[in-house]
Amino acid sequence: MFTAQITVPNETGLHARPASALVRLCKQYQSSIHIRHGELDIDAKSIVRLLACGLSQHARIELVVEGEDEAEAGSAVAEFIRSLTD
Amino acid sequence: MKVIEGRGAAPGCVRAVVRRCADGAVSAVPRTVDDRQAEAEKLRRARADYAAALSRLRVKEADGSPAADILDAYREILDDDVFFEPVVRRTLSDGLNVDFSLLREARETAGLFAQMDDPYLAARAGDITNVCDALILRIQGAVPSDLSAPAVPGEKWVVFARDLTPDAALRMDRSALAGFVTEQGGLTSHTVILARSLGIPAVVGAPDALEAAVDGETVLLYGDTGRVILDPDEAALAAFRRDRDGAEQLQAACDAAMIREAATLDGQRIHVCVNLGDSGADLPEHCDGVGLLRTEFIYLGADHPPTEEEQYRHYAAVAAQAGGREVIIRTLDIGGDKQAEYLALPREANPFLGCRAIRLCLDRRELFLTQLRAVLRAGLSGNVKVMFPMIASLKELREAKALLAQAGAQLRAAGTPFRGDMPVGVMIETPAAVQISDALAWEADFFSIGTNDLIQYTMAADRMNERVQYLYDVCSPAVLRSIRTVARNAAIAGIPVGMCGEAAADPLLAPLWCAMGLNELSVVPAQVARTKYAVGRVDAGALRARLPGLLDLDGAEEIRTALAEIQREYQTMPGSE
Repeated sequence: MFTAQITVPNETGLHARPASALVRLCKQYQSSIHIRHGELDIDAKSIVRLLACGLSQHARIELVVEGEDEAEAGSAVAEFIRSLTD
Repeated sequence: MKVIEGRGAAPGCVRAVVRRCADGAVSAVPRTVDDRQAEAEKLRRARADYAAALSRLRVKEADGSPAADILDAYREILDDDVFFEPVVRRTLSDGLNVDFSLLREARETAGLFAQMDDPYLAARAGDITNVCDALILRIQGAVPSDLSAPAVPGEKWVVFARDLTPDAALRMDRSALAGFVTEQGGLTSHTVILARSLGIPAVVGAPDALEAAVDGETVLLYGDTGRVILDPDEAALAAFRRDRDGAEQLQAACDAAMIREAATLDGQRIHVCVNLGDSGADLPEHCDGVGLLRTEFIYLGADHPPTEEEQYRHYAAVAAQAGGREVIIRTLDIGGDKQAEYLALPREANPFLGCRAIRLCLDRRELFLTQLRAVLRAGLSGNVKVMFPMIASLKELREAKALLAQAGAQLRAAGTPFRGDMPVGVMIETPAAVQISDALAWEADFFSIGTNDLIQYTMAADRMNERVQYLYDVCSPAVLRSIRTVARNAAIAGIPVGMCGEAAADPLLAPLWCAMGLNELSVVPAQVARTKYAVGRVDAGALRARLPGLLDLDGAEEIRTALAEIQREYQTMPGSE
């Protein structure tokens, strides 16, 4: 299992375009990819769930990736979220 | 005659016939099913079907077009397995019909989004509803309204719907599509985006429109005011003809002017460029470049001083988009009313007379050098020029140029490629710069007159202060004489002079700017066509002879009256004769 603690860096948050791009990225991997934030546990391959939870800038999240390609997927997704700028 | 008042969402007015599109009013009643597997399979098949339908529409649309973005957004929801999973689960566990389970899931989720008081999520709520409704209709075996061909050749439709799904809209024959009226939908809904991209009027939030309208009857649609007139009487039709003639004349004339280079009747070429930098607007195809690229937003939108790399990427992207067309990058104009936390600028009693723009940059040299390096590097991506704001003395210009040279030396030392001979311009926006424009002209490669600040500083009047707003007038003789002085001094030194304030886009003033010999007018993208049109109507040489008399008039009011006369004479506004 791959986990990473991340603070959402961008102004938009995991919303709108960044959310769409994140879902596209996650779907490229076999592993299950979840974002935990407080009580919430969000499947990062679901645009509807991701938008419904509205993770905004500075939200502290935990990325949890589990599956065959978890190492590769985990680092790619973590890197993607950390480098969001808009 | 019936009149419905909705909200104007996409501009224009049109007369056409009503075409009702009653899709979308879906319902489903719960019932138990025998074969649960087969029931769940219906949803899978509906999703596959709908995905294929969206793909067929998608291939016809260019990447990045509004229609493509809409279809992609729908596809994204349709492909969300996690969202549909509970619907399938419920069907399998409870034995409920899948259309009902889906309807419930869709309404719950959309309701959740709609509560969140966020226009983006409100629009997504509409998308989720639309996608699920389309699926429910498919599961129920309903045939979507066929709007693919008009009944009578040449007939134009205004489509009435509860809330039009984009795929319904995109299925329509666009040559028949003249407008939209929807009962629901906000100003940011996809119907609106689509109408704007098709250039047709749309009215949203029109109560009971679907019920009031009858297929085939005449409708007058006013996309600006939101008025919908069904089965109009003779007076309404006559009023419509007058409105339409005016709007059509203006549109046709501007469309024709838009695709041409702007030149006066006597052959003086005027570059019509755009101001960019805070709206994120794109560079229009038919303009001569970016006459003013503001850079403040890069600084104001960040929580740290933007790095050279961040700035370079932004500038280079604009330069590349412009192709060979010029891009004038104005260095940071911050201070005054625009602040950034991380700069920790001290409060000033008179920020507009304080340490702003070039003054700040000459004080914070590292900040300035970082920007200058980014600009110099972007010079290799297109026809980039640099411009310094708020110059009030020759010394400031020389210092800024010395720092530009220093930034170049730093890049050279680091082995980073950059453009070494970048043209340097001065933004003329202080009375001081006007007075020494003869001297500045010998040391600058071009001028750009920033009228917004120039008016404020020349008249010593804050445009936001209602009690002195009457003084803030570009037509004040003091302001116009200043602009003439700058234009003359530029001409003597043989450098081009442009204008990038709001006054550049005023059709009343365009004849004046041509007569004064301005080479470039930089306006907001939406004003490019009108500005080009106005320029094309003017005989600059003939007007030049009238300039002294005009600028000798007593005040702004007299000058405006005289300019209105000139505007009528040259018909610089279509339909203004």
